[in-house]
Amino acid sequence: MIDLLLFLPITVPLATALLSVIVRDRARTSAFVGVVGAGVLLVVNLVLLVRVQDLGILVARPGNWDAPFGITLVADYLSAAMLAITGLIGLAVSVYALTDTAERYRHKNFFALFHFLLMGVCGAFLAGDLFNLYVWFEVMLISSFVLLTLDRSREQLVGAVQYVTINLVSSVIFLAGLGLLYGNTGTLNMADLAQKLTLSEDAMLILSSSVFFLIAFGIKAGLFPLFFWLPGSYHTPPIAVAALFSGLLTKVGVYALIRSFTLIFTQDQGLTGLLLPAIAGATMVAGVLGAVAQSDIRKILSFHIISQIGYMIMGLALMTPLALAGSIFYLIHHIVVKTNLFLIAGMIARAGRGFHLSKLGGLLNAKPYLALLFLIPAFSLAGIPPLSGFFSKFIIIRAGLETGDIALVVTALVVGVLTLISMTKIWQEAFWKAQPEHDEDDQPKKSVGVAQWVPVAALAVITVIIGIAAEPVMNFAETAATQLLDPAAYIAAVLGGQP
Amino acid sequence: MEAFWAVITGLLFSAGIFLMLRRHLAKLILGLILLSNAANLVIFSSGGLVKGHPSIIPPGEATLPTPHGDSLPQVLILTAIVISFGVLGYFLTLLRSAHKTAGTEDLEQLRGLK
Amino acid sequence: MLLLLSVVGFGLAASMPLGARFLPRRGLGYLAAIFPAAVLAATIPVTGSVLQGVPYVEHFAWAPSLDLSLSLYLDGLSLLFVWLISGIALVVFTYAGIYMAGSQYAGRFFTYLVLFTVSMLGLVTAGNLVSLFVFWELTSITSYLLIGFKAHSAESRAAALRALLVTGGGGLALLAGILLLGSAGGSMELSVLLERGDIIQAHGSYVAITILVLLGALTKSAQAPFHFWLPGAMAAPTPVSAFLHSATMVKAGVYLVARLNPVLGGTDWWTLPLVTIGAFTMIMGALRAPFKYDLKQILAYSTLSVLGMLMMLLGLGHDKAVKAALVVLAAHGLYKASLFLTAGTLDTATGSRDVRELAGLRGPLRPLFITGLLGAVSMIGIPPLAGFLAKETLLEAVLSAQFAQAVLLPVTAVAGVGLIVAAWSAGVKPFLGTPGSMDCRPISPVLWAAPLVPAVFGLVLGVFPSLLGPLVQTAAGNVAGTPFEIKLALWHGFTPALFLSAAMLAAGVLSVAANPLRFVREDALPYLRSLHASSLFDSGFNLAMKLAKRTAGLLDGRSLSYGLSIILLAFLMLGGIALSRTGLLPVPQLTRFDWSEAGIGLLIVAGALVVLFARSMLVAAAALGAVGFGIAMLFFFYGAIDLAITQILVETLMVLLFVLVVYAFPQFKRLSSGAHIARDALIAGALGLFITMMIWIAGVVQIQEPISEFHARASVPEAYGRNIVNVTLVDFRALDTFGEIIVLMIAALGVTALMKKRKAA
Repeated sequence: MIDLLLFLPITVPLATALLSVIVRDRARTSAFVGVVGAGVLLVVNLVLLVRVQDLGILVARPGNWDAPFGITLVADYLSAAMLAITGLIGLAVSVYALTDTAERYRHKNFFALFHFLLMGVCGAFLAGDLFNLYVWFEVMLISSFVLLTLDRSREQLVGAVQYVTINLVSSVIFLAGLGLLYGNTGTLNMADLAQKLTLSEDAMLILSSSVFFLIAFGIKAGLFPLFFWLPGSYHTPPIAVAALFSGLLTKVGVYALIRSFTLIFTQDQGLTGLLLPAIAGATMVAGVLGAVAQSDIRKILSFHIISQIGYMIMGLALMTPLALAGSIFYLIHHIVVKTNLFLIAGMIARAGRGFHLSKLGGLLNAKPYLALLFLIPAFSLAGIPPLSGFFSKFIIIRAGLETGDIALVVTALVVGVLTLISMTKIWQEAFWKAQPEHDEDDQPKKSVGVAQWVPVAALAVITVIIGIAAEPVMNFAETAATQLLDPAAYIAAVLGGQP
Repeated sequence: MEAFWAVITGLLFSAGIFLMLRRHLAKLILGLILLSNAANLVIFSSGGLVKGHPSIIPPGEATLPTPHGDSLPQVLILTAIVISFGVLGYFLTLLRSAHKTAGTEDLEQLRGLK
Repeated sequence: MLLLLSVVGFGLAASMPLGARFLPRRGLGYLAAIFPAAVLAATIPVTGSVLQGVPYVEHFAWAPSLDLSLSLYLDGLSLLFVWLISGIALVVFTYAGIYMAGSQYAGRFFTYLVLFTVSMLGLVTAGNLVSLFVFWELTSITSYLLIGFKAHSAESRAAALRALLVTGGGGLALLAGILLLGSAGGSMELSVLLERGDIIQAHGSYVAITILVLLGALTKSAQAPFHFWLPGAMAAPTPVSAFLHSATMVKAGVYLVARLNPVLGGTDWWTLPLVTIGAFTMIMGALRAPFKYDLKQILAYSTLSVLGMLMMLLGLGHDKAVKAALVVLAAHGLYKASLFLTAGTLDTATGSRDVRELAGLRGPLRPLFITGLLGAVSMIGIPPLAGFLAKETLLEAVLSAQFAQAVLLPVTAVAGVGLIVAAWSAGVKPFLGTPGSMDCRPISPVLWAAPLVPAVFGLVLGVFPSLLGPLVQTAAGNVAGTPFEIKLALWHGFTPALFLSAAMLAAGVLSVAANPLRFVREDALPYLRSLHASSLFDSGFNLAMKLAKRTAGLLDGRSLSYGLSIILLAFLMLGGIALSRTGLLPVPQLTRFDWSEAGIGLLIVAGALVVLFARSMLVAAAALGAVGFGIAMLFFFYGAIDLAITQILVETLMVLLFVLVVYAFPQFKRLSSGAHIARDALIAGALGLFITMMIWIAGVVQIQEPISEFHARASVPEAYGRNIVNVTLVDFRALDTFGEIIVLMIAALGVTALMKKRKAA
């Protein structure tokens, strides 16, 4: 049963995707399949989350080959949480896409690719084997490539060239790192790697290959200075696609960083202790400065992804239970909020005239409920209590003060102010300012669909709930962090034997 | 010979990266193809090169005769080759579309920089 | 209780737009006023015990693992603030219901206003520092929405943003301070921390805590040099200004300082900044107010002055100073609310707030004149109003200051004179003199009755100071940390304070007679100075924006090779650091050299070189094929037959595809400059070297038997296959192969999507 449960997050999207390919000529059916499939995935992932909380770390062995000889799928607290959120985002975005994206893409395999992407993401969260992780990364990447270029507009194609190139370089570096690590250790299973590296005297030497993973995952996560693909491309696809990317793709990179640097590459605290704080700080600052300078809502939001990733890496860099719990809290909060902001940006663009702040205005009076829905995730992102973002920042800053990393704490606080500036910029320009005169060639206003209000409102409610129910979320994050910092249980669950 | 192949792999890496830093669309893809070949070589050569029996167990035997090479890097490379074939094939068509749409093969012009 | 208060308040706030739809507009204010009335009523049962010195404490866990609880801590200090806030809220809401009746967005306005009041009340009753901070930030946000309520005006939006950034930025400092305080004191609960002042003051982070907490308090209370947001906040509708200035928002900083005085106070780190900054703000505000002619500006600068006074008194911290602070706080809340609302009514009635134009209104607006007079007289400090009491206690406190009395006394006296002039301009002058040409619209009685209420309270408390006595006594004990005896009386006998007060009054009369407004020009010096801090802030803000633009330029919109180079350089740098940490240079293992292998290697390198320098696409494609073929040979050489076959197959397909795609491209031409080429060659070369060294390391280090040995052993008996590579692909690692197929499928989808002819647009 458990085996089956661990396979479902991969097979459900696969089945949905294949079914959507088959019915792609019938738009309504395809959309129906897409949404129902996303719903099933959410249910499956929630069940998995409950099971992990009940039973502890779950392991599945396809083909029944024992680890480390076969491939394993593993779900611990962190994986299960990421899967649940992925299911949530998948459902929200697929419903949203019914009005916006799908009217243009149903016939072009939109939902198939959407679910292939979810499949890759879920696979990556479950992978217990580094090479298997690579394969899921590739599934995710190739689907994202195709989703990115669905329109085939010049802007998209040009953005995609940059996006694809840099991501392929990341894959090559990942692959080379894998080869080196296998050459050193003779294994690919993450738990086995952790064990062998702990025992080995040459660990320091081998850990130099961790740089490959830091760079490869760092590119995917959008760390400074590796994020060039992100702002160059995230504003080009249809908003539902951008929302899906913004919520999930970089977070898979963050997940991989957290996983590899808490489980596998734990020997050289000097290296990570030296590099990660600097990278975290620089990522926060670079992202937020980039955001503050933009005037296209999607670009502002894209740069904020980078800045927020910095906070998550700060938690990883501090490497205390509290800090890691903060990172996990941040991940959960950020995925919900950032996806929602992109979705809302799409509604703003429909209700106003596009994404550029100079074209927008007067939306507070024209669409007061949209204003309310914007304020919740925007203030949450800026860390205003008692929304989810406040607690995420609160935990990480507290952890930083505890370890005495004053420079990082100050950076995080200042970046918080700048985040507030850029969120209020959208608010002041799009909602407060009067609607500017428009030219004839401006894009016309469009109505906002019911299918857009529902997921956006649901995600906003979840943001509020994460704040109100900070205690259970925090308890969960703390347990997840404890699991990460003491890999013995993970290793025992995968390889057998006593924890 | 590992040392030798390490040098060759390094050179291939260099060539791929140098090509990717050029401004011509076609060089981008040439560079990537070289680079993924180089990555495969990294896997192959860092697994320890052993000249010997192929990873096929002769009839009647229960296991591989020694000496034999490591079979797993071969598996990884096989998977990686096929994956990069798919991805690079897609990338090629993307470049073709980009070239057609934008009407230039200069990456900087493509991005509207020059 | 606190939870209930929040929930009820938030619920009421949320219902405001609904109320606006279904109630007559004028009724909205009364609906909102239910909330402060209920809060006042709710305090009645506990008042007795609180005044006995027993704080009313409740605990409600929110997120214990974050040390966050919704505890309620209601002692004398909190009760004083609760009464002040709710009382004035009652007046302001009633007033605003009429004032805003014409606005289409009154519902939204009251939502913000009620939310703000809830946050403010939460702030002054929170028994937990984290929840105090939560409410603190909520007041910043809701006041942002209130200040920017007239959002169509750019000035209004800018003022709102400034207020938010200053108070929000200070809030972040406060957050850090609170976190440090909590860890130094071992708890976030106020009731615990108030007992642990000694421990905290002895703690290593005491200085940092004090600085951070004061930063939060001073920004919130608009102390120099952070004062500039307050006059700007006048952009809000007048009832909001009245509320923000008299009892709330800016008083939050005062509350925080008073609240934490027993924990952090008494040291130089506390006293010095508070007294210097407070005294400076006091005199700055008082010297500028007389030169303003906009009613709201006059009142805003006088508020600054009083806030400075309060900070100074709290900084001084001796018993008399604490007493004076509390009396000033109460008296100021009352007269400032009535004066502000008076200004709002004047504005509504005449359409002007310019004291140079307003004159002779005692006739048409007689009831309002009484209000203005009562407010101004209290502010000036003439018996029998509460303001007199405040002035007397203030002067006594300064006269008995142990600290810098020689400076503080004249400063306070001069500031007092400035406030007298300001009070005259704002509360009396518009009603005197000969009526000007301006029309005076009839106004709703609420607009003069509401401001009259706090003014009358000022009178009552002045005549019967004993009404205030018990509360001030308890609150003062709470601020000082230990209870002490306080007597409040209107008549103190002929004390030095009384003579000083009389002298100030005389100086005030002379100053009023000199009519400082004569000196006001739009570009006059005081005016320039008033812009100083805010222009500094603006240029800082602009600098940050410029920096951001510059950074964004470095990060975005650059060429692909730029981004790629930076990524690769980062890779190199990290690689270098990692290698240097291993402490040894990787040395290649030299084994027997094999010429045939060397031949293959040379073929690969030669192929790569040709690709590098090819001028024609076809040559490049052919050379690419040669590289792939060479690699296949290598695989073959080492017994990897399946691999060799696949490599040849895929490479051939790849080359074919390449030719198919690029035939449309023109031939290569040199696009990059020599310097570019050299730089790129350097990066590429260094990376190649790094890869080589890493492989050398891998060749030296092999820590354990690889897992493929298991595959070799298990292949025949368990997986029933002899070709281990195949068995691994389809059995041991079947999931990878499965993923690989999916990738191919998606790629095929993508390729067909891209190749399809675009539909005619």
